[in-house]
Amino acid sequence: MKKAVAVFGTIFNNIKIVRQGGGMERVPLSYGPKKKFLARINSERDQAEKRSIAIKLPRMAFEITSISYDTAAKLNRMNKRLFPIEGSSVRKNTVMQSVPYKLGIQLNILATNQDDALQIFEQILPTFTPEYTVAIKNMEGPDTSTDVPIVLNGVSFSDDYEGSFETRRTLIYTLEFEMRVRFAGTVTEGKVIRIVDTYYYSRLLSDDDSPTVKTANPVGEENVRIIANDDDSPFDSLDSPLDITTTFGFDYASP
Amino acid sequence: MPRNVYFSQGTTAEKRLYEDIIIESLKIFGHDVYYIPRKIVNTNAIFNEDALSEFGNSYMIEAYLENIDGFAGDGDLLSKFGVEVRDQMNLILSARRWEDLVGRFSTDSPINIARPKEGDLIYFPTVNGLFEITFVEDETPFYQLQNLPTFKLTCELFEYNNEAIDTGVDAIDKFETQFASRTRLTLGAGSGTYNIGEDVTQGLGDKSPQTVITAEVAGDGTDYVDVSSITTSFDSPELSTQQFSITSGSIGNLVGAESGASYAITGIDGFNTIDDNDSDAQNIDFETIGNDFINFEETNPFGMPNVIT
Repeated sequence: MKKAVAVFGTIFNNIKIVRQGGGMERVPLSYGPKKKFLARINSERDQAEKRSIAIKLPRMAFEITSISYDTAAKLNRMNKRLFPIEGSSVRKNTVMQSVPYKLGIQLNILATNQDDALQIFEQILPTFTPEYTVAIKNMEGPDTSTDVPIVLNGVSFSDDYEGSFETRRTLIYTLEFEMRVRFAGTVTEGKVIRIVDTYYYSRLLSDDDSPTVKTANPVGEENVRIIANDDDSPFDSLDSPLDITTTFGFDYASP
Repeated sequence: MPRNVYFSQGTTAEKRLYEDIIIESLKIFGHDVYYIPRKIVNTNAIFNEDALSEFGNSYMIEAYLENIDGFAGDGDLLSKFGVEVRDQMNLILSARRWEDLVGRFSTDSPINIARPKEGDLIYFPTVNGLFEITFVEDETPFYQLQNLPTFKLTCELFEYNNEAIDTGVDAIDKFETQFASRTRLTLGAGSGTYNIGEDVTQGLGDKSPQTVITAEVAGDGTDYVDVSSITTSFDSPELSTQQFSITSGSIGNLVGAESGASYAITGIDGFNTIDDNDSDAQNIDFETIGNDFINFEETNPFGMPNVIT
C-alpha cells in the first residue's frame, strides 16, 4: 500500500500551471490523511510567526477511498515464483501467487481560479485512456516488475459559487482512479529436491498377481536413488528427465 | 402625508458630528490595519475571474474589530488538502476616513467605486493575518441621519495564489517571500550580492522591445538564489509565458534592481523547491520514495522533474 501511494504520488508530483503574464509553477501535492498533531505543528514549522493565510492554492491531494478484491484478475493460487539465492544452489526463495486487489484512489484539485483548476485537470485527462499502466518494482517479490494499470473511472467537480458573499467559493475537481495492485506473501526459503528415489517393479507380473513395489530396501537391486552433487546445479534442461542414463547433474547412489 | 418639517433628519453639521464621534470611537477602540487594494493585471474574460493579480500599495487606517470573542468562521481545520484556517472577522471603517486615506489614491483601478472593494486585502498586524474582503456592507447603520457613515467589511483569511505583494511594508511583503512558489537559479560567474525581497530581471533575446523576466528574491545560498512571483514583460499582443533561461549569447545575466548584483544563470530548478515553503507539499517525498519502486523505463507522462542545467 505504501508503494502504491508513493507511486501514485510520483506520477502526479510534477504537474505545472502557467499564468499568462506570470510564471510557471508546480502544483503542490500531498497525501490527504495525516496525523492531526503533526499536520498542525508542521503547518507552523517553517514560520517564525503564527500561520497567517488560509491556505496556499492551487494544490492537489489524494487518498485511498476503497479496497476490493479483483476477482477478474485472479490466478491459480498454486502458482509460485522461485528466486535464486546468491551463493546457494541448493536453496531458493519462494513467493506464492500474489492476490489482486483494486485500490480506489481519489485525486482532488483545489483552486481559486477555474483556469488554474482546468489546466491541472486537462493535463491529467489525456494520459488516461482510461488507464495508464506503470511498472512497479518488487511488488510480487524480489526483482519483479509488475504492470499496474491505473484506471480513471470518473471525474466530477463542485463549484459552489452561488450564495451569499460571506461564504467562500470552493472549486474542487475530483478524479476517481482505480489502481490494480497485487499483494504477495512473505518470501520463504525453500530447499531444492536433491534426492529422488525411483521405484521400479521388481519383476514382471502375471495377470493374477497384483502389482507390487519393492519397498523394503528402496535402494538396491532394481531401485535407484539419484542424488545431486553438492556443487552441481540439480537442473539441467538440456537433458531429458526420462533419460536416466545421463547424470544431468546427479550421481547414482550405489545400490 | 408629508413628514413634520420641524424635526430635522440630519443637517450637514449633525452628520459631521455623527461621523466625528464614530471616527473618534474607532481611533480609541479600533486597531490600525493596512488596506491593500488589488490590482488586476490580467483578466480571464471567459471564466470571469482574475487570471493574475498583484498588490502594490497599502494604506494604514483605523478599524474597529467587531468580533470580541475571537474570529468567526470555521477556525483551524484539517482537510484533505492540509491545514486550512477559516478565520473570519468583521471590521468597521469610517466612510470619510476611508475616502481620505485610501479612496482618493485608488485612481488606477479600472473599477473606480467610492467604497472598499471585495477582493482587496486587509493586513491586521495584531494577529499577523492577511485577510481578503469578501463583502462590504455600506448601508449599516441605515440612513439614521440621512447618510451612511461606515463600512462594515466581512473578511476572511486570504487564500494565497502566488500573487505578487510589493507594498513597501516589510510585514506585508513577507507573505510573498514566505509563501510564493520558488524557483532555484544556480548562479555562475558574476559579482555582487542580491538582497532578499528585491526584484531581479533577465533580458531574453535581442528583439525590440526585449522580453524581460522579473522575479523577487526569496532566499539565497552559496551559489544559488531562490526567486518567486515570476512575471514577464509583454512582448507581443499575446501575453508571454516565457521563463528564466540559462545565460548564453543574447540571454543575459540575472540582475538585481537594488543591489546591482549580476550573475550568469547556469541552472534552473523549479521542482526541488516546492516543499521548501509549503509544509503540506510532499512532491519531493513522493519523488524520492516512489522512484525506488516505479519503473519509468520511458518517462513520467507529466514530465520528469526537469532541472535544467
